[in-house]
Amino acid sequence: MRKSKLKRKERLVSLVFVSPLFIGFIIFTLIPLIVAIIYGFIDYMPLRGTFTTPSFQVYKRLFDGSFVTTGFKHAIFNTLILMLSIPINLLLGLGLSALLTQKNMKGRTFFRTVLYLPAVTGSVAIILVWKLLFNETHGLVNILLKNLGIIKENINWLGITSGSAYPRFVIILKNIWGGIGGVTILYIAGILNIPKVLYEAAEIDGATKFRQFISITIPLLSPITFYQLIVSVIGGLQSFMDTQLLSNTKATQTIVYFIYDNGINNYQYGYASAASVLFAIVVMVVTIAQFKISNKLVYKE
Amino acid sequence: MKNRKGILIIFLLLLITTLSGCFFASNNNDINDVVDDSMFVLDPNKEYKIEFMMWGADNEINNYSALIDSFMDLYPNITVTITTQDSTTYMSVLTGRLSGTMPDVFYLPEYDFRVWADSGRLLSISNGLTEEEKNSIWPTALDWYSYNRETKKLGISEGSNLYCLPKDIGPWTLMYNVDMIDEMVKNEKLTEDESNKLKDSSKALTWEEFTDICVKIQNYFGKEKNNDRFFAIPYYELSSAIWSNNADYFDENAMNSKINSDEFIETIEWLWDLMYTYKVCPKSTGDSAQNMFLSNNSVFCWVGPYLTPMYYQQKMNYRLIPVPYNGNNNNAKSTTWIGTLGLALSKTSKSPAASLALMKYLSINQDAQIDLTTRGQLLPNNKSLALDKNEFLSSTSNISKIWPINKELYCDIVDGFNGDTNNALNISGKDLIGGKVRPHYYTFENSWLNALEVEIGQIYALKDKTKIRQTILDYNSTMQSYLDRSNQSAGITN
Repeated sequence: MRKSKLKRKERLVSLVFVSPLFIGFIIFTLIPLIVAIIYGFIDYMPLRGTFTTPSFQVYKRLFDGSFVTTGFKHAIFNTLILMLSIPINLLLGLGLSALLTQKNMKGRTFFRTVLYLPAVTGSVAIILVWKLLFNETHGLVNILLKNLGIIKENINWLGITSGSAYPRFVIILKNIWGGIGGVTILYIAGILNIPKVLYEAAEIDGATKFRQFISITIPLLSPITFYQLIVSVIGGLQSFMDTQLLSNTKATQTIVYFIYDNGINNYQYGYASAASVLFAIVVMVVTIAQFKISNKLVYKE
Repeated sequence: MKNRKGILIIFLLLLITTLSGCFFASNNNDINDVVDDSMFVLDPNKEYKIEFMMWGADNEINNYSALIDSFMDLYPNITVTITTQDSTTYMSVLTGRLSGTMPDVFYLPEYDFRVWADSGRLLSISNGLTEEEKNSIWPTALDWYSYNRETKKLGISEGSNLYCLPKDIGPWTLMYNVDMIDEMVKNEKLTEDESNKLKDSSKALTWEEFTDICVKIQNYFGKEKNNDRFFAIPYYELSSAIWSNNADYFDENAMNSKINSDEFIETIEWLWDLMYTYKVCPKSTGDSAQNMFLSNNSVFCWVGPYLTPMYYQQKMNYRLIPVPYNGNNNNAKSTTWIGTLGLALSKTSKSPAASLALMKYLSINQDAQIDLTTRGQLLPNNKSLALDKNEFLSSTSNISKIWPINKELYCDIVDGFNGDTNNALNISGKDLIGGKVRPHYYTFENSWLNALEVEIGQIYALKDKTKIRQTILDYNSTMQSYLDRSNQSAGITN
């Protein structure tokens, strides 16, 4: 069956419109992905222009118990620990959005604006401010804690001399502070979209405000929760800037930092690419798992 | 429909194959790097176009742009394009360009020199310099950038080639705030004798002397003045402490770890003491060291020539001192780090003659060096210019106007042990002040240093000093693994 001229023209126009995205995807995503897979198999060293015959050697070396394995394991563990900010963010965001949608609450707009400010501030600027706040000798946090008598000696929050707890704590705290605005705003939008009749019906049935929140608000917000979870988990797994700019310690080096350190600092493109490919697979598996789970838990109209 | 799918797949495969070529850098691994000197002869009738890639602060970029304009005035048939890159992404961009067109001349950090030279990416310039030109440069700088690809030996040796010219030569040493020390002497918190020891830049303090002075400084400015932000010194350079106790990270060819030596462990214990026993140094990483020094929250700080214009603008009254050494170790000498960037010539450059002309202009041209030194950009790469009593070493000359009063110490450090500075300055006694290139210069990979610093950071967090030794001994095998991987990447096995 021959298609009409008009339809063919329409198809051509639509192809022209999607082509920038399509070409961008091929050049900046698909080809680098294929190249990374190849690099990982042939242990490519760009500076020397050398490569081996294709094998799983590089992948094996990531898990052979050597110091590289230790570094890789540390990186995975650190990344997961630093992602603790995600559930905290979601819970706090949900609570705050419930609070900020109360009709009788004064200064709602002001608080929403203040909460959202970190989301529109440059992340490098935020990191630099936090670095100053938590500076050991003249940071505001140490000064305040000391004046309040909570600590006697200055705490080295971000340095490598402070063990693992403090730098991780600061990064998690920063990520909660920086992410909560975006989470809250989306939840607020979600809450405002829930039909009022559902609450009215529940009220007639004698449901308390808490019951309404548990049985109506949370289930109807599940698509938003799911979206935020996916975006946050992917973002959390890709964490790099905090290690590079805020605190570079054994306790804060993430998977992406491991990839960067091997690839850029040491020209070990093979390791870096193998780790990248494994990392991409993990992200994919986690995302698919989230989608599978969401089929059962996310509310759909 | 099937045809369309087929065309699309073929198109995609062609695109992927073509673009994938951009991701693989070919390399000619010919070990013979000897280049005929005719390659470096400029043809006055030929037009040359070359690219120079660098990084730096705005003032440095402006200084170099002006200098390159002067170069193009001098050589009207050479056009230079400057490419600047942020320092944090510089090396990744440079490495990425291996699969495309490389800049002709580019900055190369000394800690990446060995792997770049070993990989055969740099053009040997041994035959491009006259003996007179070679003799004009500090000998140590020629040694840094010489390498034998066959024996994989760093430094000048039989069969080695010269691959870079020094962009500048460092060094990095300690300084102190003169006004604060004078205040202590005036208030009898520090003796004249101690103050004079600080002033004598021809002799380094021992660790004991330095610690005693730091404790007195801490007691006065910290405790008596009730300033808990104050620390005698904002941080201590790890390498300067290690080398000044005659210790090192590894043996001569970076094959075997030496962090398990008594001297190395003793050094870390001394640094731990500065933080915990004497409390004269904070446990932070020192990223705000300059701010602490500028705001009188420390008396000592680390300094290099490139900071000269900033401290001059801030009207800081400071003097340089050689880094302290362990007086209890007979073999220990005051040793800090020297050398920074090299100017390298790409092996794929189509205009090596013009490129080398530019390198020479930026590195050793007398007028250019005078210009950069007068601006406080660098210590002269030309030894005779640096040791000229009537010019750089004079306190009244235009070239030395913004430099600290005892700037000769910079020369002494670069000149090394048994160098010519003592003769030039009529200093008697042993020459016990010198420098070494930063430790990752000696290896093919850098990650061992970052990993070791992180490990030592954990050691600094130990509350119990007695655990330091065992912690370092436990880490020694990991350090050895890093070195092995570094050497294996260059085909060297232990």
